Amino acid sequence: MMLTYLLMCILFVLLGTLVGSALSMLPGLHVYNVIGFFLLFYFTMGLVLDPMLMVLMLIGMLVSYAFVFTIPSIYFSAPDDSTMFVLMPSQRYLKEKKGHEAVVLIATGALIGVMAITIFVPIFMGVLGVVWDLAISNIHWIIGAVIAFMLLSEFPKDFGRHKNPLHGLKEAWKTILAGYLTFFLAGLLGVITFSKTLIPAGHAFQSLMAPLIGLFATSSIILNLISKYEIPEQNMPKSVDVRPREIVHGSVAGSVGGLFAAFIPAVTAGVGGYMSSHAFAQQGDKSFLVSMGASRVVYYVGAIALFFLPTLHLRRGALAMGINLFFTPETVQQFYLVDAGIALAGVISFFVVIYASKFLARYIPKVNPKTLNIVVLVILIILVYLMTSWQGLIIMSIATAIGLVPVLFNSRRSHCLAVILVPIWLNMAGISLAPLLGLW
Amino acid sequence: MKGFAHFLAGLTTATFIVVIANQFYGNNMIADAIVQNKVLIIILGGIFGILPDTIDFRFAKYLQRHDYEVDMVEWDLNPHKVADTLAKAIDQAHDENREVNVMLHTVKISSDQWRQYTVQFDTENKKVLCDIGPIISGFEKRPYINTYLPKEKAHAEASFKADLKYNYDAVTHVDILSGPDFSFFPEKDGSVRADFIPWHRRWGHSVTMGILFAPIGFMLFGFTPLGWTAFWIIMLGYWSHILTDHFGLMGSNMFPPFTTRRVPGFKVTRSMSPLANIFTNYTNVLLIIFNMNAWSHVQYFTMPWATMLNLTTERYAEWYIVSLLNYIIYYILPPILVAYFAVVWWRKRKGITEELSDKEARTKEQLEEVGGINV
Repeated sequence: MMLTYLLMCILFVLLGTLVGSALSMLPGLHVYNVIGFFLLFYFTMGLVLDPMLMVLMLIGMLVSYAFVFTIPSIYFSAPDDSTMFVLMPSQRYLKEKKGHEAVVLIATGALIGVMAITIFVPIFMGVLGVVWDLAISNIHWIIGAVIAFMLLSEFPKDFGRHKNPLHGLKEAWKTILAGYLTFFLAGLLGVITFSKTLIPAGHAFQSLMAPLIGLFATSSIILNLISKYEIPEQNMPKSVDVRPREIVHGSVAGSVGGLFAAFIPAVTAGVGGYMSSHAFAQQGDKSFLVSMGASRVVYYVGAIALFFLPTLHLRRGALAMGINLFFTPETVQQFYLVDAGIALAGVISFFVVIYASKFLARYIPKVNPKTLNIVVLVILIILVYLMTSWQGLIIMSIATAIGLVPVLFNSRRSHCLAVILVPIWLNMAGISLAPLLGLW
Repeated sequence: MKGFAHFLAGLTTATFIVVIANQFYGNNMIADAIVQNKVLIIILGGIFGILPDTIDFRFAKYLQRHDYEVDMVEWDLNPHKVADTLAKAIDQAHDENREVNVMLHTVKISSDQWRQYTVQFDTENKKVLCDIGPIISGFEKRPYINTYLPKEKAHAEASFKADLKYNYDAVTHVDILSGPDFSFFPEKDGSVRADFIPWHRRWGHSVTMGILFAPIGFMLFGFTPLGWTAFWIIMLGYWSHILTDHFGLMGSNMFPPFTTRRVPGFKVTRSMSPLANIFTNYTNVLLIIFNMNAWSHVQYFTMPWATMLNLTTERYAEWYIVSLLNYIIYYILPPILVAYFAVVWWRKRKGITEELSDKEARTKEQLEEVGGINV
C-alpha cells in the first residue's frame, strides 16, 4: 500500500512536471494562470483523487514553470517580472551566439536553488519561524525600504559629454525621472488593479495577468519589432566556460534573494535577486545569470516549501493559496513528501530546459525574428483575451505603454514592479489610495 | 562599500537609535509608533545611508567643470592627444597656479562595445603614458583579442615639467559608461597634486552634510520624540555611510568647507570586495533582527548569557548589552570567521595572491566604484 502510494506520488509529480513544462513554453503564460483551471477541474472530481496527489502535481507544475519559463524569456523575448532581469545579459549572449550557454547558466542556478530549498529549509526550520514572527509586525517598513532602495540606487547612465553642468544634470536626470515616472504609473496601475480592476468578476483571479504581460512581455516584443533584432546561428558548446567561484557566488546570492522574496510579501524573485546581487557585490554576467536562476526557483518553490514547513505554514503565492482551498498541511511527513517532490521535479525540469534550449538554439535562428516576434505577440494577445476578456486587452495596452517608458529612456525596467510593490506596501502600511482615486 | 551595504548600514543604525530612543522616552513609545502606528521612520536611516553616493553620482559629478575634455572616436584613435592634454594640464596648473581639470571620455562603439585605453603617470620620469587597448564587451569587460592596435599606433608618451604628486600610480583604465576625470592642484611647495574623480567623496561624503540634513527630522515630525529620533536617525544614518566607506582606502573629506582634502581610509578592505560586502550585510541583517526582537513586546528569542545572569528586560540596558554581546559571539562572528578562513585557505590552495600595493588598491577601488555604481 505504502509503496503503491509512493509510486502514485512520483507519477503525479512527473505528470505535473511534464504538463507544466509544456505550458511554460508558451510565452506570457504564467503557471498561476492555469492553476486556477486545474483547481476547478479538481473540485469537480475531488472525491476520487487524493488531495496530496493533487498537491504534488501542482508542485510539479510550479517547479517546471520556475525552470522552463527561461526558454520563452530568452528565445522569444517574452519575460515575466523575474526573467525581465536576465533579458539584457541573455540577449547579449544570444547576439554572441551563446544563447544556450545563458540558458545552461540560469538552469544551473535553478538546480542549485532547488537543492538549497530541499536541504536548507528543513535545517533552518526553527530560525525561519522566529524570523517570520519578527518580520510580520515590521513588514510595512521592510517593503518601504525595498522601494526606497530601488528608487535611490539607480544612477545616471550618461556618457559624460555635456556642454555645461546644467546640461549634464538635465541629461543625467532624464533617465532617472523616466524611471520615477515608470514607477509612479506602474504603481497607480497596481493600485487600480488591486482595488477595482476592469477585469470582469468571472476572470478576477487573473487580474494581474494583463498588467504583467503588458509591462514586461509585450513591451519587450514591441522593442524588438521596432529595432534591428536578429538572432544569429547559435553555438552549441560541449561545456560552459564558467568558474566554480562564479557558480557558488551566483547561486548563494540568488538563493538568499529568492528566500527573501518568498518571505516578504510584494517582493518578487526579480527584486529579491537584484537586491541580493547588490548585497553579494556580484560582478559579471555569468554569476548574475546563475543567481537569477536560483532566485526565481527559490522564490516560487520556496514559497510552497514555507507553506508546508511545520513551524511556519506561511501562505505566500497563488499556489499556496490555491492549495489551501482544499488542503491544510499538518504533518512533518507531508513536508518531506513535498520536499522530495520538489527535488524530483527540479531534476527533471533541469533536463527539460537543457534539451528544449538545444532544440530551440538550433532552429530559432532559421526563423525570421520579426515573424517570430509577431507570432509571440499574437499568442500573448489571444491568451490575455481568453483569460481576461477584452477589458484585459485594454489594461495590457496601457501596461505596454508604461513598460515602454524605461525601455525608450534607458532607465531601469525594474521600476515596473511598482505594479505589485506599491499596492501591497500601501495595504501593509494601512494607507488606502483607492478612495482618493474614486475607486471605492 | 556598494550602495546596498550603505543602505543596510543606515537601516541598522536606525534600529539602534530606536532601541535607545525607546529607553529614553519610555513606554516603548518609538517602537510602538513604528509597529502599531506604522510610522516609517526607520526607512530614513536607509535613505540617508545611501544619500552620499546619490549626491555624488547624481549631482556633484555634473557640477564639476573641465578645462579640457579628451574625446576620441573609434576611427580616429590618438593616444598622443590623451598624453599631451594631461601633460599640458599638469604644467598649466603649475604655471598659472590654479586648479586644472581634465575629463577623459570613453570611446563608445555600439550599445555594448567600447574601446579601452589606459593612462599612467610616471612621476619619476615626469611622463604621461597612454595605451590604446582592445575593444571590450559589456560590463564584463571581455576583450576581443583581434582588436588590439599595433604597438606604434597604440602607445604615446608626453613629458611634463612640474613635480607631480600622484597617489594612484596604477594604470587607470578608461572603458565603459562615462570616463574618469582628473584635477591638478598647485601645492604650496611648488608641486602639482593630481586627484582622481575629484568630485567623489568630497563635500557629499562629509560629517558636515550629515549635520545639515538632520533637521529634516523636525520638518517631518516636529519637535516631538519622533522628530528627535528622526533627527538622530538621519544624522547617524548619513555618518554610517562615511564610516563604512572609511574602511576602504580612498577615505572622505570629513569637514568641508573647513577641510578640502580626503582623509585616507583605514585600509581594511576595498569597497567592491564581495567578501567585505557580504560580511557587512550579513552583520547588518542580523543586527536588525536582534533589534527588532529587542524592541518587541514579546521576545521571540532570548540569549543564554542573559538568562544565566538572571537579566530581564526590567534591567534593560544590562540585558540588552549582554544579549547583544552573546548574539554577536554566537551568531555573527562564527560564520564570518569560518567563511573568511575558508576563502583564505581556498585562495592559498589555488595559489591566488591578490596583494596589491596601497596605491594600486586605491586606484582599483576608485575605478570599481565609478563603474560599479552605474551597473
